[in-house]
Amino acid sequence: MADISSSIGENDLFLIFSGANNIKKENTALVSQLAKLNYKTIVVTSNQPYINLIRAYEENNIDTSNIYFVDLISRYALGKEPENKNPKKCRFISTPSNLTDTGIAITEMINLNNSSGETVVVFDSITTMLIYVSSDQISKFIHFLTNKFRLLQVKGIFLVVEGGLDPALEVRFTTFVDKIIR
Amino acid sequence: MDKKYSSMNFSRECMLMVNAIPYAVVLIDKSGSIIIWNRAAEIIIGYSADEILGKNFTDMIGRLISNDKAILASERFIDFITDKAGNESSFFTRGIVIRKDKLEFFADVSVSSVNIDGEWCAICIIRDISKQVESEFENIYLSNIVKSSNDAIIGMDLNQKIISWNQGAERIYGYSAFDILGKNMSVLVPHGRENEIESEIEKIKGGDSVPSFETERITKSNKTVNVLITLSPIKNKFDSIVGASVITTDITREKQMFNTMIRYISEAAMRLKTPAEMVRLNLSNIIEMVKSDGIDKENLILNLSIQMKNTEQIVHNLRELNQAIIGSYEEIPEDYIKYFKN
Repeated sequence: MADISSSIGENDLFLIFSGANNIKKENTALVSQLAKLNYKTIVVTSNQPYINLIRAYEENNIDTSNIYFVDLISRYALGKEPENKNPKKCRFISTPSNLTDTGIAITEMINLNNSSGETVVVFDSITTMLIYVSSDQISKFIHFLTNKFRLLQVKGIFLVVEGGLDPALEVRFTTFVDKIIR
Repeated sequence: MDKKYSSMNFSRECMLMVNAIPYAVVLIDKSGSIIIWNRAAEIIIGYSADEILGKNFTDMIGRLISNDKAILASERFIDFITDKAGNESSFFTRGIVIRKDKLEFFADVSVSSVNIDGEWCAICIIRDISKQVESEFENIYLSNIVKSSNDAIIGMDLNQKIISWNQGAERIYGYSAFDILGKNMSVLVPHGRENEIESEIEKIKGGDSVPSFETERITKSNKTVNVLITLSPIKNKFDSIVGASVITTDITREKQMFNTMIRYISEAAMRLKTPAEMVRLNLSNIIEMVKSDGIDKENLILNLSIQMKNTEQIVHNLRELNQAIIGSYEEIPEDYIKYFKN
């Protein structure tokens, strides 16, 4: 699993490559490290539903009080918002292809003033987003997000499955971030 | 010449000279009798002097040229041996002569009246031009290939001045031969590639072979085309390199197709292969959760619905990519387009 504890102070934007088998564990391990470092963490998920993530974090004894979610997939899959939602903790997006709403929801979560400490947005994952948007669209969207994060002085971690990007797109993404972890 | 076939007397020196001529020399007297048939005639036409001398011209002509032409030649023969003959009674023709062994060859034939000892005769000189005709034919043949080639075939001197320009070049570059002849090849080279031709020319001058290379060129309408270029030396008759032929194949379409194919495969890998693997792993996790009673019904429905949506979208992506590829390839047969769309 990627160790970001030592490098997150010096770098703002990360691209983390993970094996398809390990990407769920990678998410949990990253969030665990961020919680220990007292970061406010916003998990943007198109891979697993918010409910699964909360459960996984709790099972791993991660303090979820400072963790927020933008869930791109649950509402789309069910056709409605899940009943046990916590509106303060999670924004549900109508469909993962709705990048405008996703961008707005991420900004709203960043601007929530109910937590202390620096903010980190964990984007899980570019690979599952590619199911719903083209490589051109995702490239523009990630470029938009990285610019926004820098302006808002927010840190960002983008998860991607190893081998899930073509060489040209991989090179493009590496120019958006400060550090790449494989 | 021991036998005497005519009242005319030819000195030994005269006959030596006639036999030294590399063309067939045939002399026919007023009566139509063949009285000189030199060595070259024996070699070129195949009949020996013994077989021919003393024979009548009208008997022999039918064996040497085609029948219709033999009749005409016989009719004209009279003009050469009458008192009316003179400078005007001569003609030159090019045609096919039949050898003794029935093989045919192209020949230049000249026939003239000649007055020997007050008697008009006809002298016929036959030159075998088979090799020349063959070479001319080959040149015309090759020239037609160059003219009608779909590729641009351009001739240039060692200073890169364009000296020949075929129809393929007009089609690819948009310039007519009138527009371009005499201009420098650099008008076709995009900015940044100016030294490309120069370095290749240097190799050719040095006698090195130049492998074909892919590059870009600029058309008259300022459009960039992808091309495959093959440079070969042009030599003069002294075997010196005086220029180069530049064969240009337009590969723009192939490049576009190749790039489309790469994009398709890349996009397919990113939007189909890896996501499908993610779905498989997620379903596997769901199975594990069900086995260990670690998931309630509501959550199970949510998780399965997500994977179902992912799968639907992956199938949709496959159709979308198929549509994109169909749109990019004009060459796909209609029945396959129908099949892909279904």
